[in-house]
Amino acid sequence: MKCRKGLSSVVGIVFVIIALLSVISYITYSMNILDKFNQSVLVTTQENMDRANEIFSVEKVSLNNNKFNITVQNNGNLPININRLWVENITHPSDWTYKYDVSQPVAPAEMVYNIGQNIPLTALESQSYKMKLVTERGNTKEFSVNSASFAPLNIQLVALPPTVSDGFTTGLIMLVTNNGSDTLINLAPQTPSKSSGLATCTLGSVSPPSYDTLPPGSTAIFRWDLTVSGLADESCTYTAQLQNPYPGNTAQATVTLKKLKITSTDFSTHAGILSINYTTFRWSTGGGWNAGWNVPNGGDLVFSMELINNNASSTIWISNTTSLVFYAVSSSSSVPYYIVQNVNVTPTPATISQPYTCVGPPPNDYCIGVPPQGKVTLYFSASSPGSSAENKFSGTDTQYTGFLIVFGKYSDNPNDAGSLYGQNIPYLGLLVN
Amino acid sequence: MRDGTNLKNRFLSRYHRRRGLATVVTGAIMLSAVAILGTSTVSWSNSYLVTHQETLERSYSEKTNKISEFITIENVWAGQTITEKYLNVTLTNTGNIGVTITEIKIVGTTQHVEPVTNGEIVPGGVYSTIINYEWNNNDAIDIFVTTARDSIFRTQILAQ
Repeated sequence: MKCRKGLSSVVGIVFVIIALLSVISYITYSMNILDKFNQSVLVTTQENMDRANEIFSVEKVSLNNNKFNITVQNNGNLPININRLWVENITHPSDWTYKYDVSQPVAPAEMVYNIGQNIPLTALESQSYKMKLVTERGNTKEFSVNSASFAPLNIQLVALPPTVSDGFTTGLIMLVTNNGSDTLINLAPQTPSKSSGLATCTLGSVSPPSYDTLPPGSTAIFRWDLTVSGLADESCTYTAQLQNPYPGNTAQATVTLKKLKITSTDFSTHAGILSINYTTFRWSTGGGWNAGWNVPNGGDLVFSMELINNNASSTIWISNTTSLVFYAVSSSSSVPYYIVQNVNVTPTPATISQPYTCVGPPPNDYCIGVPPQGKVTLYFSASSPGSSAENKFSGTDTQYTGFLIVFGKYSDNPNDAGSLYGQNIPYLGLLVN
Repeated sequence: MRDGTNLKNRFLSRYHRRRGLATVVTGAIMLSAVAILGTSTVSWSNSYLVTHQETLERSYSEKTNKISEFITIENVWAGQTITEKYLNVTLTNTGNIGVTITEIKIVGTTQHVEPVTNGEIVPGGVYSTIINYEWNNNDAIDIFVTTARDSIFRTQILAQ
């Protein structure tokens, strides 16, 4: 009886052991499967992270001997392998696309050059290409070469300054903004063409001649010097565009000639209240007026010139001590020619027809007034204030430097106290022989 | 007395034989029942576990393969001939297992589904196909690539 009872227990234990072994095996198997799945997830996650951490940029693209020369920088911390290069010709009528295996490894923080030099493709400067680099992990980098024709760009042409005086140089500035999503490569402008205007305009060379790359959102700036000459209000209108341009993607700028003007206020501030018109300077020894700077030695001389009052509100009354003084360059000896009322240049020698005398008040002083922003022709000849005797050069000196010394007062009437004013107006020269 | 003793011995002997048989039979029945129940239970549990093992293995395999496959839509080029327009789609298997492309769906101004029959790509392999599609200039076109494991990869291009 005991033996039979033991057999049942043994059989039962055997089954229990079998059941336990099965369960343990299943659990172990499940754990292994779970572990392998975790490993797969980790591997895939790592691959995705590597893919996301792959960072590279196209630094430069040029054409060497009609072959692309692409420089790529690995900006990430993983080594990358550039597998393929896609090239699409945008300019060509058939719009072809080719794929090339390049297989070019790039170490982290390193650059590789000459990508594209070994592919069987002849590239032309005159045509635009859209290109794409593909890495082994599947990342891509698109860029365009000579691609101004791909889409219209934001182009502006401005003249700085837009108005200049005859013979002056202005700057012609071309601003090109990449408003697309691709990096533009080899961006170069055409020389702007003069589309209208009568002024004579001379365009200098462009600076810089091109941009290697222009990322999206960036602006390229090209500059030309433009020298303009001609008459007032004449202009030059220039039209600028890029090489391989998108049709109609142009910009215009106009430069206009203006007279150089200095207002009386400017003159008052910077050059003095009184000024002379140098072109009106004349001298005479009789027989009419002469222009120029070569006067005879030893003869009675008379001079004339226009004096301009730049004061906007008050008349200046000229004192009889106002004189035109010439200093010999070599000896510093001076020869003054005092102001007179009028001269007679018809006879020879010229004479003082009216010395600087007047009834006044005050008598014989402040005889001539120059109205506000007005001008008066003054005559100089007297050897002393108020004298009727003409002065002359009599020494051996030949070169003289001269200036006008004006004494006067600003007032409504010659007899008013007014504001006394004196000014030296230089830059005259004479050759006496 | 001898006869009475013999009779008693025979009775006792018969009595003991009957009682032993019942025990044996009962024991046999119990043993059989235990064996049958044990075998059934073990067989059932084994079968159950094997079924679950297979399910687990299949699930593991499917999920592992699915997360391991990766397709790069390397280039989509909008081209045209005199008579028709098309998209040239190039795919690269950048994962570490083989991939089978089953269909490519193009969604632009119109939608087009292109079934793919020979879309097996080995790891690192490239698959290119031309799909007739009437694109318009500057259309934004979405491209969806579906694999046999129901993974979907997508990209978008600007047709030009």
